Amino acid sequence: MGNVWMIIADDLSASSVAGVARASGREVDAFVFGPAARAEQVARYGVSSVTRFDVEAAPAEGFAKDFAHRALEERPAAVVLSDDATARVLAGFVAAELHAPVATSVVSIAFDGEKTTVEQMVAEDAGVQVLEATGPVVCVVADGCPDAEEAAPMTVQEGTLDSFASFGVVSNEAAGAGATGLATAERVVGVGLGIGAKENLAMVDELASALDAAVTCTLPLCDNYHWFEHSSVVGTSTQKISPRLYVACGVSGAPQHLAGVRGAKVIVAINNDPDAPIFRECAYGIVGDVTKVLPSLVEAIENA
Amino acid sequence: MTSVAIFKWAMNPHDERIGANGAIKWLANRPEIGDDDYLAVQVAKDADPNGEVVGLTMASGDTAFAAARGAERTVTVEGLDAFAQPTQVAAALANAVREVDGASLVTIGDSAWSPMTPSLLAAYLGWPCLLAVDSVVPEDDALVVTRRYGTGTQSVRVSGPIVLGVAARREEAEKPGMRTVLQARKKPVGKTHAATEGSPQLSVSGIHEPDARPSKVFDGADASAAAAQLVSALKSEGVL
Ligand SMILES: Cc1cc2nc3c(=O)[nH]c(=O)nc-3n(C[C@H](O)[C@H](O)[C@H](O)COP(=O)(O)OP(=O)(O)OC[C@H]3O[C@@H](n4cnc5c(N)ncnc54)[C@H](O)[C@@H]3O)c2cc1C
Repeated sequence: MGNVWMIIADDLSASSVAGVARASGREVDAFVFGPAARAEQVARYGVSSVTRFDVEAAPAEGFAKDFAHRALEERPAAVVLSDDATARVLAGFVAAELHAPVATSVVSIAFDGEKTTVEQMVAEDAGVQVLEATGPVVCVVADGCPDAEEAAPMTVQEGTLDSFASFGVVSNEAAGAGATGLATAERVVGVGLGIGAKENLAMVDELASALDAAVTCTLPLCDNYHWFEHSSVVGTSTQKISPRLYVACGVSGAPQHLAGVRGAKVIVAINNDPDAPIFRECAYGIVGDVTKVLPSLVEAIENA
Repeated sequence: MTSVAIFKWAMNPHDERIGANGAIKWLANRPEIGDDDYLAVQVAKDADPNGEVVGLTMASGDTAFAAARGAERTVTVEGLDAFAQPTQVAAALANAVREVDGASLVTIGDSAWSPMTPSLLAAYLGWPCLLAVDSVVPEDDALVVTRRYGTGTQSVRVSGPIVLGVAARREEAEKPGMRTVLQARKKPVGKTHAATEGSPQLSVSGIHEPDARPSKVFDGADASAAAAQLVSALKSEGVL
């Protein structure tokens, strides 16, 4: 009985990837690419082993072939990862080497002898498709799966792999200030075109300060109106966030924006169009004019 | 340098539905132009402004998309439908890339619609791969590839064959005009059959409804009442 492997190359989704891996019932081996602190965190997710690979000088993608060889030797029962760009490269090579099928938007994995059963969200989350294969399956976990419970930390082992690519890091450029605050914020208020006018942004700031939240925006508020820096946008263009609370104000819920916020534990939407797509994704919503709702909401929070 | 720019290769998940018989159905049976496709062609051109770019697509119908953006010719891959799995699409693309003489760069949209296909394609070709790519600049015999990395970006110098998954940050600024498109339709289009024999696949054993995620929507006609209801709900969720 092989273990489940998890490939972690970002901080955002490690906990929910571990959650899906552990729920399979098999032991979990974690392979972490990146800083030591990331590996130390993963070591707390109830995994059986943690191996870290330093990628400071050589991009992890160069290790993909050697990592896949290791997979062929150790024969994991399944490989799980988030949709992080680096993790996907490593997983693609593992899938090819193991001759394994691939599933995305996965919410659960189960084993019965050699049979692997995978559940995946389909039709824009309207259904759960049950898939089967004999042998290992490479699974990209859906955003927002429940986090793994923390356990006593495992010792992190340092691993080494050979690179098959001729890669050299030329430079690393940090993102604008907005990005770093958003990445770690527990609560985030998002603003979209529905806010109507620049002076209404003051209401958004008031809500953010009542909630002690960071502020993000949709792409048009940056690209077309220049009210925000690019590093304040969330979505496919920029970054994903996973706060505990995301409050979307006058945001329609375009797929490119939602891709950035699906990792939020609770999504709240304020929009005057009851048919806006954001209402299909949110836990709570208010149908109404955002300029009327925001002051009331600030008041209600302050009185709570 | 000969580059292959892949476009119109993924199904739009917006077209995926659950039919009355409880099985998946697709409103369209062919891939659509993705958000990143224009940039995949652009990056192939940028990698070698004097080189040859070959467009490669899984679509039928209008296949002039890459040609209208600078590709000399286009190859269409035939024989897969909307239900093809990422392993099959990647195998078919890898085979079609191998048929392009001298190709040493593949650019493909790093599509949220099908997140594993670009790296599977690279693995089947045995070429290195970088995803979430913003841009490339040629430098001597190498390419400097800038990709998103953490919350910022990283520039990596690469030499030798490579697959780049390109991710657009915004819509195409200037779409080709009608004249360009009409001229592009005269450029050569070749066909190849999707070779997917032996691709590993998952079999579908059923579909069920997701656990109902309770969505509570309050009427904001009375803004203070709605705000009070929301705040009490958020308090009980423990997020305030
Ligand atoms: C390649 C590419 C990448 C992209 N990347 C991103 C990205 O990373 N992030 C991103 O956000 N977008 C991105 N987009 C853009 C995305 O497709 C949408 O266009 C954008 O997210 C829409 O922003 P919005 O919700 O603010 O505006 P709209 O879609 O116009 O929605 C405004 C909403 O406000 C509501 N509204 C109007 N008036 C009021 C009122 N008074 N009170 C309450 N509600 C009101 C409307 O009902 C509507 O739902 C990208 C697009 C492309 C092509």
